[in-house]
Amino acid sequence: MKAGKKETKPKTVSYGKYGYLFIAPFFIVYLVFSLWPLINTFYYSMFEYTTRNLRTTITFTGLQNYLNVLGIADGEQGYFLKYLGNTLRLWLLNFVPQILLSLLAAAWLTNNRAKLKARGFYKVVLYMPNIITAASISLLFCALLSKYGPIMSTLRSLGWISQNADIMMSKWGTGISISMIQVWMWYGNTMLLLIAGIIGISPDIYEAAELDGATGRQQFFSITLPLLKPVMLYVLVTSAIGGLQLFDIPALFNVGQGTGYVGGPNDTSTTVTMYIMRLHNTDTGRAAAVSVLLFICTLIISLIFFRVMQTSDAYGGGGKKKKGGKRHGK
Amino acid sequence: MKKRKVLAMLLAFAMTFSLAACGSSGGNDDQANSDADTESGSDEDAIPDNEITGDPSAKDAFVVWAWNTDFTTLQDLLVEKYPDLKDRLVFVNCGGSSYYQDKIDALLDDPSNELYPDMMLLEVGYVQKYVQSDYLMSLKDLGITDADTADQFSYNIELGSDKDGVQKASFWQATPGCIQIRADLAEKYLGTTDQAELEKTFSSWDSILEAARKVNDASGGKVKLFSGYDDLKYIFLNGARTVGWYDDNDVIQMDPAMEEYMEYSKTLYDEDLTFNTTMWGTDWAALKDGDGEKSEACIAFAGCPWYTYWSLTDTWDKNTILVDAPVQFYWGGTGLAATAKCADTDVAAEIIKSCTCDKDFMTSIYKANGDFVNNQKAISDIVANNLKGASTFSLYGDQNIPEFFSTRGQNVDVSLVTAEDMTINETLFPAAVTAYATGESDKDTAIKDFKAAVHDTYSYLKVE
Repeated sequence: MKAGKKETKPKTVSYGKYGYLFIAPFFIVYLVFSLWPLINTFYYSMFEYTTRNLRTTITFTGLQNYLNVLGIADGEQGYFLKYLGNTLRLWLLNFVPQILLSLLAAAWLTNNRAKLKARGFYKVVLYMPNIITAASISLLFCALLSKYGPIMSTLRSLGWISQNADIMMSKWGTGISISMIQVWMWYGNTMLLLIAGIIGISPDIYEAAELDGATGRQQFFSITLPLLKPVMLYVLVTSAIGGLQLFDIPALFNVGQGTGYVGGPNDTSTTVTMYIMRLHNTDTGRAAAVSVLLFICTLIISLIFFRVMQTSDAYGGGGKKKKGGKRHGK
Repeated sequence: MKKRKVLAMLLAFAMTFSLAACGSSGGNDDQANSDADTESGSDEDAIPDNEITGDPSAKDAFVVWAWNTDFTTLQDLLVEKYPDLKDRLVFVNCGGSSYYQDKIDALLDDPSNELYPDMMLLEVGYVQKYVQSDYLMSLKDLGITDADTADQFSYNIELGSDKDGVQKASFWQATPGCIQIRADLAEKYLGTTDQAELEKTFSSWDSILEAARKVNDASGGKVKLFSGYDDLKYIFLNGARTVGWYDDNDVIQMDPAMEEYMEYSKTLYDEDLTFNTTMWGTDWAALKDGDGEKSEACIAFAGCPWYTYWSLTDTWDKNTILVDAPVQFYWGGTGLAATAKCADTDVAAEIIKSCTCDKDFMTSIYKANGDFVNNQKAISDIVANNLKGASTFSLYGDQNIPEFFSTRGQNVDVSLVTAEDMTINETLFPAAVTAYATGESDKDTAIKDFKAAVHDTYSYLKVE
């Protein structure tokens, strides 16, 4: 903002103000569509909304909504903690296989020795599942995995199982199914990020290693992996933030089961955002309180990761002073 | 340097905030691996667009809201009767019953919106919520008298009236329940296709259980009596209840009949007597057409008029026997109601009168789509003259759909229905039943969880 005033000095022409102009749209959009709703959510969470037969009464309750959803208040169940547990379980089940799979695919597709043909084609194919809408994917998998669906029937006719198993009736069956759909949908995306990270690593290092007689495996574990740390952390942060807000696949997977926003079986695959959706109509205040708690969790996780990222950068980038900017990649 | 750091921090925060606040405003989460941007994406995927026919911006538009296309048959008949409605009627199909209340509730406070409903369709599961509110106009205010509605089934009048007995919603369908039996499989596994014999088998829960065991043993598990214990939920929920979900002090209460349903489900589950499907699921639908040898099949489905002529597959054509469930229940049904700020009460009155009071018009509805109409005179007319609906679907032997249901409508009892029934009956309670039946929770825990869930959804209902 000061840039504008400095312009009165005739000799130096400052283009600084244009920079502010260019970044202004983001901040304006952010203030109106993100920050304002966020502050409002805090405000709403202080009120109790009771809608009965379409008549709504709003009363100020302070922090009561928080006490309620955390199960601290008398006679209330801590649904938030329960659903947060569900969400984290689904996220872990999804993230670990996803990062391994992506890493493997990224390593293969960037390996210069393998001289894989048609890499672009493979990248497109692996990314493909991400293009399909979540709704279609959920319904598709619901049908595939159902008790008398094609997968069970095939397994049974092959004689591998004696009884059709109902995956949707088991907590881990449902959890793993949902997580595997997530993996299948998102590993292509993660792979692209990792490929970008691997390409950013200087080829000199590999060349030197090769001259020293390092095997492909050694190169991967001693060069690629350590230098990929910043990108991995970025993937981890974004995935954790997204994972906490996991909504579409579990919700639609369960809608296919006819249970709405109660994730079967026995409420074990209900995520926090499904809970928010369930509440928003009947009790805006409590939905807001859950949103705020989710926000706080996200914030904490992000801050921890950012902190870790900063320290790891100092080592990952090599030099301590000038190469700090290296993580922006090339 | 400092400034840049501050800016970097700000951007970092902005990114977290915008992700956390689930608004994908900046471009920064585009490349994020995360599922973060799916939040906004899924809304588009999950909630279908309204399908609007007609021009809502016209000055004299008369807007009717529904969650499926059932009304279009009525609309065609109405336009035939009142040609000037042709250009005025605007029909909004919200795309599914799960989204209906959300979408319409947002509009009710906004009469200036061009899509503000002048008339809405209401399903039994939530009709009471609207009837007890101030958003509907009473039939009296529309000029429809008790004499006009005299031929309606009395349970439907009760469903459409508020606690002071003022009728606001008027139904065109009546929906007494039944059990539908597949004749070829009944012959094979129950040893009879005689309606009176089968009626006896399905007259009590004990004899049903016995039959279920018999079928399961005889077929080696390839054929079961029912598809799932979920299939029995409407019989219990809409027929067997002895108390409502909460008492006069808004304390949630557990009906002994509902506990009985939980026990019954557990027995069916433990002895593997059903395929444990949920209604409207893929497996559930597929089981209708199984042959019982190569593929699994089941003999009986809970049903009601619209179900029988509309949802049974070709396998069941000339192959369906209707019998009574152990208790008389009802399932579904759609009412019409004019909103308080309805733009043209004369048109609303014409539509409601024709569709829900006029014997001849309602007979023509039956002829057009086979609906079991909510008019006892029309029904006795249809039965006496053996009138045919549009559907070619027919029952086994000489049984006849309107005739079977004509005597069942009077026995339906809806005095225990509450405004919260749809969510409780279709989401919260089935979850408790499943938790108990499959052994995930013991009964006390399942009931405790259920009550907590009801309280969580409707905070004004209390757990004692």
